[in-house]
Amino acid sequence: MPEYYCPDTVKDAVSLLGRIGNSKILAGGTDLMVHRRESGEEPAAYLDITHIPRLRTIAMEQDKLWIGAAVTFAEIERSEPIQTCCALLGQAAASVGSPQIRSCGTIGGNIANASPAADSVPALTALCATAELEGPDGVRCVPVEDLIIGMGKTIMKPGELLTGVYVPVLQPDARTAFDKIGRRKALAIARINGACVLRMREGIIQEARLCIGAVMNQPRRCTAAETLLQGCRPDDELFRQAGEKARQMILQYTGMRSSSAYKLPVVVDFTQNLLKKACSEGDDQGAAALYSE
Amino acid sequence: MAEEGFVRADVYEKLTGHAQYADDIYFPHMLYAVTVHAPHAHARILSIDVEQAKRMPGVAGVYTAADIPGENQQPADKPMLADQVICSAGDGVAVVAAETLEQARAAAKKVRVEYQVLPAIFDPDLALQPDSVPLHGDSNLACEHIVSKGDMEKGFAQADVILEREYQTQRIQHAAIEADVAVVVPEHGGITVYVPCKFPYNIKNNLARTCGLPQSRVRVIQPAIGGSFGGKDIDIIVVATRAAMVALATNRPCKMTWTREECMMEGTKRHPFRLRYKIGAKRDGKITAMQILGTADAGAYRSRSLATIWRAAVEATGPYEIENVHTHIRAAFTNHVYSDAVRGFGSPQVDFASESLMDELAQVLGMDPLAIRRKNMLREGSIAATGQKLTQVSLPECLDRLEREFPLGEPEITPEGKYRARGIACLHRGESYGAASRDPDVAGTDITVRPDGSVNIYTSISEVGQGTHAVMAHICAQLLGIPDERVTISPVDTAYVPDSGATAGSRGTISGGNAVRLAVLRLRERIAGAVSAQTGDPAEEIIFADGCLYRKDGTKLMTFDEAIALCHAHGVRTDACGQWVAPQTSWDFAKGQGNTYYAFSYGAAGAEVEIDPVSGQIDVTRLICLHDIGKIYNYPEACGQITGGIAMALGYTLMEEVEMKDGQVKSRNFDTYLLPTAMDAQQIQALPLAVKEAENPLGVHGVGEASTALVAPAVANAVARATGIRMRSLPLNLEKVRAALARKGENTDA
Repeated sequence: MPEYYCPDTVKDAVSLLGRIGNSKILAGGTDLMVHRRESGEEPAAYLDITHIPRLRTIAMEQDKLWIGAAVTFAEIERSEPIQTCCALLGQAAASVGSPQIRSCGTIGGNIANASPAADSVPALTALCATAELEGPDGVRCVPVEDLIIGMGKTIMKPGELLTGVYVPVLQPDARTAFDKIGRRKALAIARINGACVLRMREGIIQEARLCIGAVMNQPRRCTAAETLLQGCRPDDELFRQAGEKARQMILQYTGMRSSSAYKLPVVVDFTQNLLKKACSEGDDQGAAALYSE
Repeated sequence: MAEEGFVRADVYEKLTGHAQYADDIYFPHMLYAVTVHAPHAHARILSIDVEQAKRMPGVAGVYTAADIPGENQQPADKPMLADQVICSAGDGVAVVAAETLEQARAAAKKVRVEYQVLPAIFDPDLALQPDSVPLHGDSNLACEHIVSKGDMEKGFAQADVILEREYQTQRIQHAAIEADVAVVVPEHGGITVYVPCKFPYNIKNNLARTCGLPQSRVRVIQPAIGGSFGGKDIDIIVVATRAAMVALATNRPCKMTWTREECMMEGTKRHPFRLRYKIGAKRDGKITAMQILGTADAGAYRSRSLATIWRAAVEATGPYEIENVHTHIRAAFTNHVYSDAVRGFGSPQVDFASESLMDELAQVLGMDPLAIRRKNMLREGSIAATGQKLTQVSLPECLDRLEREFPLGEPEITPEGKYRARGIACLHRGESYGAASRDPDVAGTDITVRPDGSVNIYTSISEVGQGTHAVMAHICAQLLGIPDERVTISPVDTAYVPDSGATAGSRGTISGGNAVRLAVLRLRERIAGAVSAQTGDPAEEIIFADGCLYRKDGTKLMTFDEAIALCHAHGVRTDACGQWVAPQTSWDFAKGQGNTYYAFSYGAAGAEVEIDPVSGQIDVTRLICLHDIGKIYNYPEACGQITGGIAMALGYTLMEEVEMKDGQVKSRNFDTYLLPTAMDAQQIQALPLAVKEAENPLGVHGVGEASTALVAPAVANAVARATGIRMRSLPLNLEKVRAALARKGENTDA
C-alpha cells in the first residue's frame, strides 16, 4: 500500500523525493493513474504537489510569466495574464482532452510525462519557455525544448522536481498560431500538433519559431524552415516550402514509420496552414474554439 | 400527450446515482471470481496447474471446465470455460474465487496453463478454402444463406450498364457503459442470478443447462441496466455461469465483473463483412439484376451468426424492387473473438454496401441519387427480393419527406480549402425475429389491479434505456382510462414475470406493448363482466375512460376504483394475462424465398459533410434521420432512440474499430478504442414519423435499430459527392480519406 504525502513547500517536496526511493509526483494524475492501471504497479509513495502555493501560481516576474507546475489546463485556458502575454499557450491548453481532464491535468504533468503528443510542449517550445527544476543541488533552468529527450524521458535528475515554467512575454509584433489534428473533436490525442511564432515588421518576417509535435520523440524547432522564412514576405508557396523543410527534418530524425505514410505528407500541408493561420491572427479562434467548451 | 412524452420511472434514480446496478449489489460472505484468460488465438490445453493459485491468500477455490456442473458447450459454440482447445485469444480457461477482488486477481496470475500453440486462421475467405483446417466439425462454414429470385443471366443480359464493387465493414463492439457482470446467490435449491440482460428467460434457460439445474430453480433478477446495444446476452451467460459454478461449489454468493479490458478481449462483437456486389441496370436507372456475394467473420464460435447473416441476406439488396436477385452470404469460423448480436444485426453492414452502390450506379448513369432511388424503390404491394409481397410500404413518403427536409443541391458556402456536400441513403428493415429464428416470437404479460386501483404489469421486456417500460405502462393506462402514474412495471424477476421474449430485433414496444394490450382487453372483460352482473348493462358496451366506466350512451356507471372494489367484493379477480403471438413468417432455406418478417419499417437519412483535405478529417456538419414508426407513443423517446442509433452509427462510420493483430484485440480500453464524444455528434436531427400505421393492433413499428444502418452510407455518399472519391471500407478514418484524396485523379477506386 503506497504512502501519500502532501508537502506545502518545495523544500519539503524535494526532501521527501530524496528520502523515499520509488516515489511518484502526483498533481492531476491524468497520466499517472492511467499508467498505474495499465502497469498494475504501485510506487512506494505519492507526493502530492498541489498544495505548494508557488506551484499553483501564475504571476508576472519581470518580463516573463511564471506558471507553476501544478496549474491546470483549465486555469491556463481562462487566465487573463496568459491571454495577454502568450495567448498561444492558452490555445494549446484549450485543445487538451476535455473539460474534465483540463480541470485536473497540469502543465507540469504534461511536460514531465514527456509524451511526444503533449499539446503544451510545441507551444512552450515556440515561446522559448524554460522549465525550473529544483533538487538537492539547488535550482536550475532548462529550456523546455531541451528538457524532453525522448518518449517519456527527461533530463531531470533523481530527486529533482519540476516546479514550473517561465514564458517570455510575446512582443507586440508577434503573430502566433496553434493547431492540432485528432481523430475526434475532443478527448483526442494529437496525430499532429504544432505552434509557431512569427515576428513581423512592415509585412516581413523578422523571426520565425516553429515546432511541430507528435511526429518526433522529442520537441525540436524546425530550424531549416525558420531560416527559410526569415526576411521573407508571407506567401502560400513560401509556407509550403517551410512545410517541406519540416517534413524533411522529421524524416531525417524518425526514418520511415508505419505512421509516416500519413504524417509526412500531412505535415507539409499542416505547417503551411499553421503559418497562414498565424498571419491571419485576429480571428484566431481556430483550434481553441474547436476543442474547448 | 405523445408530443410531450412522459417521464420515465427510471430516469430520476439513474440521474441521481441511486439506480442499483448489478455491480452495486453485495451479499454477506460474497466471493469474488476472476477469469483466467488464454493468451493464444488457437491452442491445445495440455495442462492446468491450479495448486499454487489455490494456496494464495483468501482463495476459496480454483475451477476449470471439469467443474462446470451442467453442459459446458454446445457444438461449435462458446464453452463457458475452454476444455481442450482455445479457439480465440481471451477465452476463459479457469475461474479463481477469493474473499476479495484483489486476492482473486493475484491468485489468477498464479494459475499455470501449458499450451500447445496451433496454427491460427484469421481471414474468413481463406478459412472457407477446402484445404483450411476446420475449427469445428468438418469445415469452417459457420452458416450460409441464399436469396434467389428470377433469372440472373437474363437479368444481366438486359442491362445497359453493369457495375461490380466490393465493400468492407469492420469489427466494432457494443461499448455499453456498464461492463458485463453477474452476482449469483445459491438458495432455494437453486440459484438467484442478478444480471443486466436483454433476454432474462434466455439467461435463465441457458444457466439451467450450464449449471445442471431445473429451469424452475434458476431465478433471474434484473437490476438497472447500463446499456445493452445488442449485448448483455451471450456474454452474460458466460459470466453468470462462471459466477454460478463458484456459488454452487462453495454455497456462497459470488460476483464476477469483467473489466473493460475483458469486455474488449472476450466479449462478443459485430460481424465484419466483405461484400461483392454486381448490379445491372438500364440507362433509365431501372435495376435489372443484382448479385451479392458476401463473407462474414463469425469468429471462433457460432452464437448468433445464423440469424445475423440471414437478416443481412434478406436486406442486402436495399429497399428496391428487383426482378432478378441472387444473394449468397457465408459466415466463416476464424480464430478471432466471436461475433454476435450488436445493435443493427447485419443491417448496418449490408446497407452501407447497398446504399453506397446505388450512388455509384447513379453517378455512372448521370442520374440524381434521389431519382434513381425513386425509380427502383419498393412501393405498396411490391415484391421483395425474397418473393414477399410488402404492405404498409412508406418508402416513397420517406424519400419525399427527406427531399423537403434536406435538399441535395449545392451547399451555400464552402469554407476555403475544404470540400462540402450532401449525401442520402434509405432503407427497409424487417421487424422482430424473422422467419429464420429458432425462438418463437411471442410475448407474455400479466397485469394485476390492486385493491386501491394501482396497477402492476409483469413483463420480461428489459428497460435497456429505450423507454419501453414507460410506453407499456402508458398503453395500459390509456386502455384502462386511468392516469399513467397509477401503472407500475414490476421489477423484472423471472420468478414472477412471464416470458416476453427478447428485447431485441427492435420488438420491445411492438411485442411488449401488444401483450399489454391483450392483457388489458381480458382484464376489461373481467371487470366489465363483474359490473354487468350487478348493473345489468351489457358488458361489451362498457367504456373505460377518465378514471370511470361509462355506458355506451355516455352516462357514468361508476368510477374505476368503485369497479375494482365491486370485483373484490364479489370474488372476481382483477388480473389477466396477455400473450402476443407474432404473425406467421416462413422461409425456404433451399430456395431462398419466403415471408421473412411480419412487417418492415422504412426510413431515410441525409448527411452533410465538410472534409479537410489536409488532415483527412470528415466533419459531419448535419445529419438527419427520419423513420416511419407507424404510430408515435412517445415523441421525445422515439427521438432519443433514433439519436442514440445515429451516435452509435457515427462511431461506426468515422472512428470505431476493434483492431485485431494476430488474433489479439489491440485496443483494450477507450483510450484507443474511439467513440464519438458529445462534440462529435452535435448536428443530429432525429425525425420520427407516423406515415403508415403498422399492421399490429397498436400500429407501431420498432425504431431501436433502423437508425444504426443509414449513417455510414449517407456519409460515404456525401464524401463522394464532395470530393469525387468513393470510400468502400469502414471506418472512414483520417488515413483512408487522406490516402484516397492523394490517389484521386489516378483512378476512382478507393
